[in-house]
Amino acid sequence: MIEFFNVTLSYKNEFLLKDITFKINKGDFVYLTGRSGVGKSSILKLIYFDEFPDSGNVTVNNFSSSQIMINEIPVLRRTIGVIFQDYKLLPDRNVFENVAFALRVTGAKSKEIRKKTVRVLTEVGMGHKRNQYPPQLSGGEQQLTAIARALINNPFVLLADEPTGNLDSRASNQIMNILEKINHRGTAVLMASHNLNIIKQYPHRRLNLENGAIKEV
Amino acid sequence: MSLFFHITEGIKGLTKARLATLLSISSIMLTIILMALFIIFSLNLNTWINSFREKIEMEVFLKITVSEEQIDELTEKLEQIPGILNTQFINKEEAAKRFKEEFGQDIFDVLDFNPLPLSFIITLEDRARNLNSIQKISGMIENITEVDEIVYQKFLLETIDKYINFIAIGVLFVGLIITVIAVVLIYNTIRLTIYARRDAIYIMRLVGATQAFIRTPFIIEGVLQGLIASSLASVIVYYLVQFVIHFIYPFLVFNNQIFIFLISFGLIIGLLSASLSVAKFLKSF
Repeated sequence: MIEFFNVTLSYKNEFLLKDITFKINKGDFVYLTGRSGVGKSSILKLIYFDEFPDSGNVTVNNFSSSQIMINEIPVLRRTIGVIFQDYKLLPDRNVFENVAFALRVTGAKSKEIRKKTVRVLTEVGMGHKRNQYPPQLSGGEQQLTAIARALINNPFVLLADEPTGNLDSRASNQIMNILEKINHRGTAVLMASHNLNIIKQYPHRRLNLENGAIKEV
Repeated sequence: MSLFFHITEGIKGLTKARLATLLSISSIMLTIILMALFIIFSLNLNTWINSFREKIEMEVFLKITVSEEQIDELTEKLEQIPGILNTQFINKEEAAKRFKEEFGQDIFDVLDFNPLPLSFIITLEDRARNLNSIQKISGMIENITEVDEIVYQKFLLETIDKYINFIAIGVLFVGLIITVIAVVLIYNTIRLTIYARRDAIYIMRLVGATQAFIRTPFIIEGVLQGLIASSLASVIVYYLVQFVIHFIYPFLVFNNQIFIFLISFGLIIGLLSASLSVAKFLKSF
């Protein structure tokens, strides 16, 4: 489903990833750990083809980094959900519009957008706050909104880049419980994190990134 | 892709980055006003030059031996020459009258007889009112044996023809410069509005929006900015022209079709600048 094969990536003439190879299968829950700046976010970017390897190959759902056409990238991204530490919500749109936005870009009909958005917001427990704007929400609620946006297109994998980085332990647990729930329904989760408490509390397969190399822990 | 969604997004875009939008609309408006003033200047200059050209006529003096019986035949010969629109025969009495009008003195007060020759005043076709054509026509008239002398405003023609090319090149050059300034100015201000919404663009890309989907609202926004700016510029230009006609220069030549041009110019410049800047931004993003 996601396969890195001998992937090398450099940034400003320095190797960030050196010859890394790993695989994530359907329904996996995998942590990606390592200190800040080690290249965890770059691995996620390589998966949604925001970056391309200097050498080696990344394969995501039959799309290969060496062969994918520019116009195929949006098609692939609609099958991947991404959430970030800073949520990346649009502050001038309310919760409903932020989530619906991800469906609008696919050209979905208004009726379908409304139905799916309400359903996914209810699933993450944000249905009652759908008319509020991001600045009116707590960090945990903003992250739940971002999760709803990531899930609306039924992705096969959810990429989470330090999703609990800005949250207190209560909100972090709430987010982790949702991610577990999503994973149990069959969506793979790849979560970049350096929060060892969370990793211990919700144990899953772990890939550690250090000095450009990746190791199964 | 829903057009309604894009139009709504384009309109929303105008109100989101207000300062950048205001800056963009103001710069388009000022450039269009500058363009309008330049067009009005060119229009008046052209009218002024044409009014000079309209005054250009040839006087063909006939030999003293020519009698009035030969006039019909000569008229026919003259009117066959390409570039001649019509001819007006001036007999001796008419010539004497014109002499008095021109010099304020009766020819018979100076002389006992009328020495003024028979002549033709020749009106030329519009296309022939230039030095080159007149010299050709003059050469053909000279071949008619009954003709003694041909007189026309050679100096005026030479002056107009000498400067008309400079003026035409100047007009084209200034027009081009204004257009380039407009595109650069609008291109950069629209880039500002796009830059102000880079987060929205990033999220659009992240959730799988195509380049066309991202681009369309910005292009609609650019077109709207162009339309708003050119409409405002048209209103300002209209009142400015009215002011000049009523209080400064009543002979100002003005054509209302200029507004169609200004609105179209604003629309095209908005479309072009937005397309260029969004394409450049997406490429570097």
